[in-house]
Amino acid sequence: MARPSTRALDAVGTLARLGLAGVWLASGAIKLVDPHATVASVKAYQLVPDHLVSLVANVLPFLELALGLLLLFGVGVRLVAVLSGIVLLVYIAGIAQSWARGLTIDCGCFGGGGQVAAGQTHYPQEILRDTGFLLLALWLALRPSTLVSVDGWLTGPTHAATLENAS
Amino acid sequence: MSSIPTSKNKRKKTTSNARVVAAARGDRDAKRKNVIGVIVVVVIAAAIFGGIFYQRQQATAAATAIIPAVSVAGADQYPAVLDPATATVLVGKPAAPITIDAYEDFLCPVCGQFEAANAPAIDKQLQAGTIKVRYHMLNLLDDRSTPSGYSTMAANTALAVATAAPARFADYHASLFGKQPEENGPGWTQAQLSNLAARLNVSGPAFDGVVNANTYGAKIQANLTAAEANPALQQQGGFGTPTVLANGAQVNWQDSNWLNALLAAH
Repeated sequence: MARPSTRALDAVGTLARLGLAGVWLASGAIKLVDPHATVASVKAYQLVPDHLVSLVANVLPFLELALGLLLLFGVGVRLVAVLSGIVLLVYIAGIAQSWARGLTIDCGCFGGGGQVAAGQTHYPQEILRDTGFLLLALWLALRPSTLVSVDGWLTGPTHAATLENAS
Repeated sequence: MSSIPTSKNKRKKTTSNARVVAAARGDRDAKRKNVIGVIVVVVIAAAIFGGIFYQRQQATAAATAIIPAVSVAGADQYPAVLDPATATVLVGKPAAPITIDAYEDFLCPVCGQFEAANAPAIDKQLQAGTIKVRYHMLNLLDDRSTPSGYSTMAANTALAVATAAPARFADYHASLFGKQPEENGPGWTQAQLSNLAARLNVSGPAFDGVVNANTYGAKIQANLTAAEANPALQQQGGFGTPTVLANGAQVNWQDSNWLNALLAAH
């Protein structure tokens, strides 16, 4: 079976890394510029106690931006991918429980959020989209090697390259 | 034949050299990986604590803000009368021929816009004795503050002002609409609402009693439920605030000429 070249796999990983970075940076920035909407969307999940809603809503955008920046520069890609996966799993669980409990909310994944009319929910699409992001994170967790990253710059030639030289 | 072992030896030597290099590199890699791990943890921790710090700072700033006291020019020219049974306040001269019913929520931004656009003209007509206004202060947006309940608290406090010092109600009402808290923000606290009342010279047992017992909380909620079920109060898509009636019929307050048209018709 023909294996794709290391370089091709690295290129795929790079796309996954930059894609996921873009997702975090966009959703974090949108949440940060409209903090009150973020509060509303966190509240709508009815998961967080009332007195902690504002705290969670203020931490999330910064956390997302941090994940996005680390991925953008390729710092600790495997660790950041695992953390991204955990956060995405929490988001998916949040959306799923809203669906299961019959809440009618918008996920507020990219701003907006809060209560919507009964026919205006998009739970399957929202979960599908977040699952797509989760696959990006999964790829990077399993194969964090990418092109043009701080990781690569710090560790010098990749292990694959070292092994090729050695054989 | 003799060349094969040599080549093999050479290869072995190269391989073992490469292994040593790789091992050394592996050590360095492990150290660098630790450094990267530390960087990630520090950045994530900084983001989380930054968020917490930012939230605390915002909360403190909101809690220490002062609601500016607004003085309605003609408020001493006409009375304000609280009706405890309906939890409404009727402002204006009793003989005024037009009764306006205004359904408002102190958190509702559109109500704020309505007040900003119309309060001076309404004050003028109240002074002239052509209209009187019955304020229905509701809690439609009770869940749009964090913690929930600002709308009820603000309405109850306004009714406390109307209880203790009816003459100051117009000022209090105008002050709350003059500087509304943002939707989904924390809203003003009871301390801030009471502080505003104090700066309008409203305090004492009558005021405190209504505030502390949340005397009108249940009635405010009942009024909202009744308004939502009242066919005469429905707008496009249901009941909303503000809703404005003149002598029992809805007026289109979004028409900037509504008050003039109303006066001309009477």
